[in-house]
Formats: sequence, structure tokens, C-alpha cells
Amino acid sequence: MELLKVEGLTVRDEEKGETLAENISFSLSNHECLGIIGESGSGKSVTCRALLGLLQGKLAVTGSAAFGGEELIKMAPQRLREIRAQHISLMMQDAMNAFDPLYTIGAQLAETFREARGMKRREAWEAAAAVVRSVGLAAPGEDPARVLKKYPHQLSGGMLQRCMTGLALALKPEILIADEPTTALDSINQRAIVENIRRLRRETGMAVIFISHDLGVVKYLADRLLVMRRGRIVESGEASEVFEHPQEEYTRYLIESRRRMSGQFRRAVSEGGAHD
Amino acid sequence: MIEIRNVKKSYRGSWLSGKAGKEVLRGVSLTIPEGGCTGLVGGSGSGKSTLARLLLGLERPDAGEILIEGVELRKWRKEHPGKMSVVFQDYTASVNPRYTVEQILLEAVTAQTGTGGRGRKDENTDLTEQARSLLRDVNLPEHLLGHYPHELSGGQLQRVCIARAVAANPKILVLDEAISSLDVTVQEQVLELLAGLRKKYSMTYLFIAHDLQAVASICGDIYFLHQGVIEEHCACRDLSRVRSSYARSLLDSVIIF
Repeated sequence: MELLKVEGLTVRDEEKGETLAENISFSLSNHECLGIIGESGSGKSVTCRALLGLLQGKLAVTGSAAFGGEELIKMAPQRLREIRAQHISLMMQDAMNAFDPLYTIGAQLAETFREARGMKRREAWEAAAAVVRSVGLAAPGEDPARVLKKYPHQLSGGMLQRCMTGLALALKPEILIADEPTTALDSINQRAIVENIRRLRRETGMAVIFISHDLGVVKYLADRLLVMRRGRIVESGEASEVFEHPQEEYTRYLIESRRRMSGQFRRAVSEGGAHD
Repeated sequence: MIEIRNVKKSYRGSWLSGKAGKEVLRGVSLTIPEGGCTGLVGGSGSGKSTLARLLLGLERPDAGEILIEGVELRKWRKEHPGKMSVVFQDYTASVNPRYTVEQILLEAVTAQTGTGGRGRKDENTDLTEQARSLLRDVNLPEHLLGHYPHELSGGQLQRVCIARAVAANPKILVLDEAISSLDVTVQEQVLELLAGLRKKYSMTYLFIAHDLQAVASICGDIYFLHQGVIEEHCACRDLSRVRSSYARSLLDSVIIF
């Protein structure tokens, strides 16, 4: 079933006269994971923020993005807020800025559940505790309140990132938009988030748009792939096909760069024979 | 050679910020061979940036000692001003936004030679030529000299920071997550650039990062730092044989491309 259909999405900065994303079209079905790769400034994040009405400044968005028969572009802010709370979650790279420094983690998680799910105070607090447990910030015997009662500045970037991931996943959205969620994390935390996303796809049929420049992670998760450059889609297709037989020179360049960088590591690991 | 011997560092807690006191480094020892590139890998909060700050002399260890070429760190720094340099992760915060690229580079050059900004005309042309040659070292076009930081891309600005770091001809370069904020394609180019510069100027690198694949691509040996303790040390080519549980799980978690 088609969940989201984007057609001719264009984002322009009227003041500077720049086009940040031009004529972007793709669709997303249940269970599916769409990977978007490309360098900084290629329009990956702008495209996804435009879908959710989260662009700041004087940016003009045209084109269409249909979610279950509703048009997201130019949707009333109130309805868009509901959609974001209940159907489409965004997971960002910058967890530090995702939380309000003036409120505790628990208060912010609980408020989200109250607003998005209409939960009562106590129920929402329980849900917040479950989030903290689900991402390993409180072991089964431990009191999650230890983390919930902390303010954002009292937790490390990695811990905040895990809170945000846990929250995005706990809302059980139909679509998860993950914008570079693992880039700043070490491999252990990165793997935990990636496996969480996989599990939720399996269990709930959640569809995912996964934006990253880490091609390894994208290859591991994505069914289909968009390659973006300077605001445009330069190549798209089945992820395995694009990674194996890239048609565009730019795609080949991205792939070869990553392969060169991971070459030493691959050799060191494979020569030892510890990996299969 | 850099020898870090049983270094400890704690930070006091504060009731104001609600932070508990913490022992960040709990007796860390490591050796960095001259002319080599040694990697330091660890997650957030492992203490790797604290170790970098101690090595740079920005803070002092509570216990233990740091020796460079057999001389105590602070003494060595006095005797060899500018011979240790650093590139941080946050390139935008590392430069003065009101300075042009040329001013950024020359600040580093003049701080060393002590010529200040009051040189004669021919001295100034000589300085501009130095700035040009630094830009060439990091593969940037010369016309960027007149540009301001906000006019450059992240990769270009980090190259400027690297050029500034090597301006005073350092022997030791500390790279604290120096490529972590860059695109993968740019990371690859910058790693190649760093490897070339190390050979050209026979520098010693301490390369700090959380990305094991990047570390493996440039370093000869790797230290694994976890919760303030060195868990393991191995040569890069023996990476697959690590035994400590932390290094093992870090390695096994990598999603290889």
C-alpha cells in the first residue's frame, strides 16, 4: 500500500534566489525503507523537512506530497502537528537541540505522549519510563526516574540521541524519517539504533526514510535508494542494484570514496578471519 | 616519542549544574612513536577529548606524567613553542569569523616568528606567499585567501584549519574528531591529505575519533579507551584479534560497506 507520494516537490529560497530542492518525486509504501544519500547541501534534509512543514525562514515550497489522501504541502499547521505527533516521526542528528533545556527529559517525553496519544499524566510517565528502558538507559532492575528526572545538559549527546530514538519509535509512527541519526555515534550506539529501526519495521510495518552519508548503514537498511546532488535526484532504484551497478558517475564517486576509506578496515578484519 | 604515564583526571561536581563529580581518566598510559600515527578510539564520555586537552597542555593531570622526547610536557612546550598543534571537530568555532582566510593563516605564522603585523612591505609579501603555499599544501585554490569563513564549505574550512595547524611547522599534531563533521567523500579526501602532510613534514599524529573505519584507514596502531581506562592496544593490521569485550563489541558493531 502506498503511504506517501511526493511529486515535483521544489523548495526555493526567495531571498537568495536559490533552489534548494528541485522537482523531487518518490513514493513510499508500507514496510519499505527508502535511503537518501548525497553530500551536504544536496537537499536531503530540506526535502524531508518540507514534507513535515518544518522549514524555517522564507522558503517557498511547491509541488505535492500526499499522505493517505491528505496533502501535506500547505496543510494547516494544527493538522500538520497532529500528523507529526501521530503518523510521521522525525529523528534528527542533533539530539542536543531536539530537547528544551528548561524541562527534564521525563517531562518532555511524557508531554509528547499526552499530546500525541491523549494519555493521562501517570500513563504518560509510565510510557516515558518505557522509552528509557527500551533504549538501554535503565536496566530492568533500575529506576528509570534516575534518567527521567535529569535535564538535557546532564546527559551526554549519545544518551540524548538514544532518548530521541526511543521516543520516535515508541510513538509507533507509520513513517519514520531518520535524518542522519547515527552519524555522531560510535559503532555500538549506532548499531543499537539501526537494529531498533529494523525491529520496528518487522513488528509494526513502519516505513522509513533514512537519510545518511554513511553508505554502510544505508545499504544495510534500505530497499530503495535516492541519490541526490545539488537539490536534484541524480539516480534512483533498488538499493542493491544501485550499490552494485551505479549508473551515474556521481553515485560511483560516492561509493568509491567510501570503499577507499573503509578498505584498510575491511582488510584488517577479513584477514584475521574473525568475521564471516 | 610521546609517553603518557598513568595519567588521572577528575572533575569536581557542582550542585548548580547538577553534575556529579567524575573521574574521567583513571590511570591512562600510552606511547605514541615518533613519526607514527596513533589512533585513540572511544565512545562519547570515554575521556578521549580530556586526554587530548591534557596532551595539549590546556589542562593539567591530577596524577601521572606526560613526557615528550623524554622531557616533561610543560618544559618541552616552552622549549619548542608551536611544535605541537591541534585540529578540532568544530571548524566554525575554531576560526574568527571576522578574519579572512589569509589573516587566519598568518596569525599562526606571525605568532611563531614574532613579526606581528608591523613588518616591512617586502616582509608582508613574503607572508602572503607563505599563506599561499599553506593553501597549496591543503589543495585549496589561492583565491580563497580573501574569503571569510562563512563563504567556505565545511570541508574547505576544515582544510584551512589544517593549514593553520601546520603553519608553524609542528612536530606533533593532535586531531580531535577532525573529520567527524565532514561528508564521507570529504572525509576520504581529508584523510588522504593528512596522510600526505604527515610524510611531507615528518609529523607525529594522535588521531582521535569514534569511527573505527576512519581510524583504521590512517593509523598504524590503535588504543581503545573506555570509561577512562585503556582497554586494549593493537596494531591496525591485528584489529581482528582484539580480545577485550569493549574493543570486540565496537568492532563487531561496525556496519561495513
